Amino acid sequence: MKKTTTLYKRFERFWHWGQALLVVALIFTGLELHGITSIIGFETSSHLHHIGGFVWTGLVVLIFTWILTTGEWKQFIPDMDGIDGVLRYYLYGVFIGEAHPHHMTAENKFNPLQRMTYLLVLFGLVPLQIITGLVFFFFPEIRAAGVIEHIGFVAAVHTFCAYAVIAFLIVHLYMITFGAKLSSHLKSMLTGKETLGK
Amino acid sequence: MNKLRNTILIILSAVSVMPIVSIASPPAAPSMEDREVSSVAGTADHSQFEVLQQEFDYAPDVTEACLECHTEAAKQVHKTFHWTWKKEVDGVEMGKSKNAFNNYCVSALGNESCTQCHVGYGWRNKEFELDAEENVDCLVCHDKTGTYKKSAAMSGHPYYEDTKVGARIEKAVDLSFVAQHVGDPGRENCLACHAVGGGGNGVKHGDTDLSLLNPEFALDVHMSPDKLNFTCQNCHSADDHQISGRYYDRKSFIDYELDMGRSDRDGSNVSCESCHSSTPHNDRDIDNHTAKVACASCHIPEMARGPYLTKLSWDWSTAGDLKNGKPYSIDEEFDGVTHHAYMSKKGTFTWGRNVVPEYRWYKGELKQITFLDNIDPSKAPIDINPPTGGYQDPKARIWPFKIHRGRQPYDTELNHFLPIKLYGRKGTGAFWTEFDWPKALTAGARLNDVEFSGQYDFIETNGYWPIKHMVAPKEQALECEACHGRPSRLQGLNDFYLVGRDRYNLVEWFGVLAIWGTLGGMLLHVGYRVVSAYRRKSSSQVQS
Repeated sequence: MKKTTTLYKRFERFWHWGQALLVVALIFTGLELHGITSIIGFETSSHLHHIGGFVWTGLVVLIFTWILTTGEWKQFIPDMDGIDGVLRYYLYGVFIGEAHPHHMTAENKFNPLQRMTYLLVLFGLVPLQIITGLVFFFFPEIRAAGVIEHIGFVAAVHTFCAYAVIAFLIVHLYMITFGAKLSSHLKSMLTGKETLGK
Repeated sequence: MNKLRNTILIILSAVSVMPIVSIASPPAAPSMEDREVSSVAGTADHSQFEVLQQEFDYAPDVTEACLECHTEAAKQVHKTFHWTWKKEVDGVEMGKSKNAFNNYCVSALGNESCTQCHVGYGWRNKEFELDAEENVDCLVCHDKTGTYKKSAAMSGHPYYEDTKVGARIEKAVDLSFVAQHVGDPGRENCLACHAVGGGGNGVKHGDTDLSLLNPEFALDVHMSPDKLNFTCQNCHSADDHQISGRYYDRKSFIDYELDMGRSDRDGSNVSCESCHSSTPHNDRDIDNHTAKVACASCHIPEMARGPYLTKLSWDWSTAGDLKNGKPYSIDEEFDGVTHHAYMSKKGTFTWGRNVVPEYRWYKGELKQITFLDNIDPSKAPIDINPPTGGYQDPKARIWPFKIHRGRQPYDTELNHFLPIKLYGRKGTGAFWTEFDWPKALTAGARLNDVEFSGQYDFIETNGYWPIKHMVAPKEQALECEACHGRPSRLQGLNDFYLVGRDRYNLVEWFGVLAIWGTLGGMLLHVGYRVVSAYRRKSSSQVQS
């Protein structure tokens, strides 16, 4: 029996796509600042990176508030049960035409692998990137206050996280293609609706 | 009627003479003879003083006349380093007149021609009376006529008679005329010496040459007559003849204590921050730079931006080569301007214009080494006056420098630098007349009270010249990428992390593996998905 449910609520879709836009912009300007690319120049990149960083910080505060107050946080609790099946699917099942072993519901959106990945990314990588970014931005004031003298270590962590975010983004985008149809996941992230059940 | 006719005749003859005068004056130096010069300085008309209305034939007599009214002037000058040419630093006297040296002509002492830039008369040798008031040269700084010139051959005395110097005639100075036309020093007075240090226009500093007499706005926003028309003293403020500025015993600025007034600075220069404050950009990101980066680093993007070259290197070791027993020189083009590339008298040079400076931490003081200091020849090139400081030092900022590369003589037994006797008659050992290194070094050492073992060689040296003049219009300030990029102008300043320039290998390798590894893995996965889907499709077709 199949039925269509709203899996991603309106605010959830807003923060997802808002964050997507910001992260892409921050990656683009960040690579400029790091001297990897030179398309729009250092000065413009610097200003955009700072604005983008603060908007992202604000958005992440809203996201965390939303996740904590709506009870969505429960979706991120690690659950190893069935992770072997998920891994087997991506490494073998998908090639022989097996169906995805995880059954999505509104209360259990993520498969065990997603739970773990999103927990690490959203509650580990993202805050770390934002905090190191803020330290980076306020470094002149922090240094003047005598808290830290050098920014090198913070810069290293910030760059490391940036590369990790890029790698995550590649996998994340690829994972879109594992829906019922190639476009299913993208469509549901836009409309919020997903066809559930068998 | 007669009077009127005479006046007209005088005017006509003056007009007819004027073109000849301006042709006769050299094109490089602005002609001042056809300039209206006032004898009024402040509240006094010096042409009305009887003591100045005499025919002077000896410059110290002029000084005595000056001192009749300005009773304290010579005493004040005697205390300045313009007079002493030395100050004591950590118990060692140093300056042009004692122990210090550079990598241009090395040492002034023993070379009388150098003392043409001393504010005195007759510093020929050790017999010079440093406490004689009449030996002070008032006119070199206070002449407003532009006609006062000191002679290299007469140890700072002006030309008393028409003298052939090279291809041109230096006219005898009309001392009475000059004495009646004195006033506050203008740029001509300061630049007459400070623009030509090291042996010619622009040679020494990189940011101080004769183009500052009348700079266009793009060359110097402060001194250009197009706008502010600053004199030197607008920044180098003066009191009792003490002119502010860096010397061996004082810092050029004390900018780490920002936004100070002039009275707080007490002998140190007025600096950029004195007028502009340390946060003048109305932009947090740029203002934050000023804690570690001097204004000059961004606002003087290149040095020697005028028409004149500055000397970049000087190799003394090749000097002394003669053709048919005669000295010669070879000219080459440097940045569009032809100048000496080799001279038998001086060795091999390179020059440059619009030169990108090098950047160093700097606290407004240079650590001069002297003839008394021992050197380790294995550590060449030797920094002879390096700036000090680092990222951790709150008093230091990153400043632009001209670093003049030299190769100059040192004593290989005693391991110290050696002065050279350059200028003088045959028989004195002077290199420029005898071209004999042992003789010139022996004479130079004797005249500077330096020990010389007789063994010498040449060693590479770096001379540091902070760049602070010739501030460019703000549109020409450096782009971020000049430092925050690769290559970076701050290459070599590695005691801090600089965004855009610096990377950690470990992090970069992680990035390469994480990003390209993920992309590669994804492509393999996609490929196998496509292949397996195709196989399944064709096998299901076979079955059906």
